[in-house]
Amino acid sequence: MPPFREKVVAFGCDGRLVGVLSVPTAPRLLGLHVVLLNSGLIHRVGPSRMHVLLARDLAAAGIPTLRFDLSGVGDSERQPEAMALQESVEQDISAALAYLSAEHGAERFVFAGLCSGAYDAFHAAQQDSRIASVVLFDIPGPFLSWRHVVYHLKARMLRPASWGRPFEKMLRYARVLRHVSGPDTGSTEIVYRPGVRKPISRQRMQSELEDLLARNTRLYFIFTAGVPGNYNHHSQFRRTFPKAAKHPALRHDFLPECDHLFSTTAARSRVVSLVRNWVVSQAVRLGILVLASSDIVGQLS
Amino acid sequence: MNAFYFGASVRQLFGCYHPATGRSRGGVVICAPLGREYLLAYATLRYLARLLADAGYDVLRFDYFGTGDSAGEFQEASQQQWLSDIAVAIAELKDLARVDRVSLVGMRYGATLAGIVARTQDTIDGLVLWDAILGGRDYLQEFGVMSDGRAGPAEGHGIALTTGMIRDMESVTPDILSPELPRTLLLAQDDDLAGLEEHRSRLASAGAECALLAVPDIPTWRDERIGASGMPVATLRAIVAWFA
Repeated sequence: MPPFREKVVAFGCDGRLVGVLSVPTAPRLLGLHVVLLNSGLIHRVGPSRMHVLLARDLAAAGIPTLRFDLSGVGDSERQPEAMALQESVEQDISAALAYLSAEHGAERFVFAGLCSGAYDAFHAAQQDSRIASVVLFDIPGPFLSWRHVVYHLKARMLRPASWGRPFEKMLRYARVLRHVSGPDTGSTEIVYRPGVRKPISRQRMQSELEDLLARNTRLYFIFTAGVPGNYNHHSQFRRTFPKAAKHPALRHDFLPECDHLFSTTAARSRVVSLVRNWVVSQAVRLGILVLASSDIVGQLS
Repeated sequence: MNAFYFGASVRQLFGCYHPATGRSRGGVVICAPLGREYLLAYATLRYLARLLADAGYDVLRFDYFGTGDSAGEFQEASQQQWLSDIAVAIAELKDLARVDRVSLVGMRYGATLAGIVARTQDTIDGLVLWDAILGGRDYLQEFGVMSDGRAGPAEGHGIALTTGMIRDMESVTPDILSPELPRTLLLAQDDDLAGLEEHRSRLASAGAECALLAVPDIPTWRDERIGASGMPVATLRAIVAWFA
């Protein structure tokens, strides 16, 4: 039998948000829960089933993990009333935290998300201090620099096939689309209104990073080579945010062997391992009672 | 809609049951494609389930073992396992909806699996094969498997195929479209229409009830708009109309 079990959960108004909670069968790390957010319109299993693998791995390490669908994504119903995308996401995240706190005794949270999910996790952490740590995969950010452009053009020069479609891919990746809830027009019609994430300016991200670090929120930025228009070399984060990059509560890694959707088995294994070790180290830092995973903690120390 | 786990405890399958609105006209099990195609088609298949439920059908969507939210790793699965999962899903829907007979709607490799199951079960009323894989070798090339059968990385669409899966997929040919199939709709968004018409004609002349519906569009399982503006509503309504 696997060292975890999974159950379908429904929460929020009328239970319209659907998720799967992976729970350790052995005693768990008390009080800490991980929440995995949708990336774009990909439902809760994540790209290449990454969220499922991550949730099960974390649960096996003693940490209950929830993957759920935001309103209008996957199996969750849309919001009953029209509202702005950001407001809808905030409501859904509040509902998830309320559910985990009330039903499972959760006190502290680790949020993780890819792309738009990273964006949502970053903003959720600013609004709720119970979110002690955040893992951000390929967050669309203000990482452009001359060095980045040089690396990007150099890579393109080496790929003649890409010469004929300038910026097409960059634009596609830059658009993070999600439909927003709208008034129900009947059970056989769906009305979609694409919602576009507002780009974060460098000044704003700098300020928000400082706020989170001052609050001692732990941040783990992971960048892949899959969005070269956003990130393409190891020192890009450090060059964009030199002060924050030196902060002991912040870690950033560039994984050039991984693509944006973690399409290969090797990429998924690498990321799952990195995130599990980091999350367990956060639990230890938070002084959360370790009952199940002394072997893993032993490996980290 | 009711999301739940079903099946044997060591091989739990994730399912979503959409009960019929009003008096049930029968059951429908939806057989999803694999890998990235499933992610792209997820919203479409959910919407199809809603439309069918509104039209009076009890519908079960589910994830095969090793896929989606179901138990297991993809590499632990096999074609035999997935065929067995469809049988388990059929039994689950019969039990949930208290229906004796069901129909199957399959997309891409899910259609291929549905076709294989429909040939062996005598309680299948209807079959919708949406861009079914009828040539396993062509399909395998998308995973980097060479046309001579030599395995390359065998990894694509976010999944890695095992040797057993490759062997089973290689053996897929248009022969799965046999006269023993129940009433069948061949739905083509992407396929070679001339080839499909040939198969339809072959089945019809052998006495099988088979229709062909061509919907030239970006195939929903390849459409990166993922269910937003890419929802093929007209196609889905045509499927519901075929059931009626």
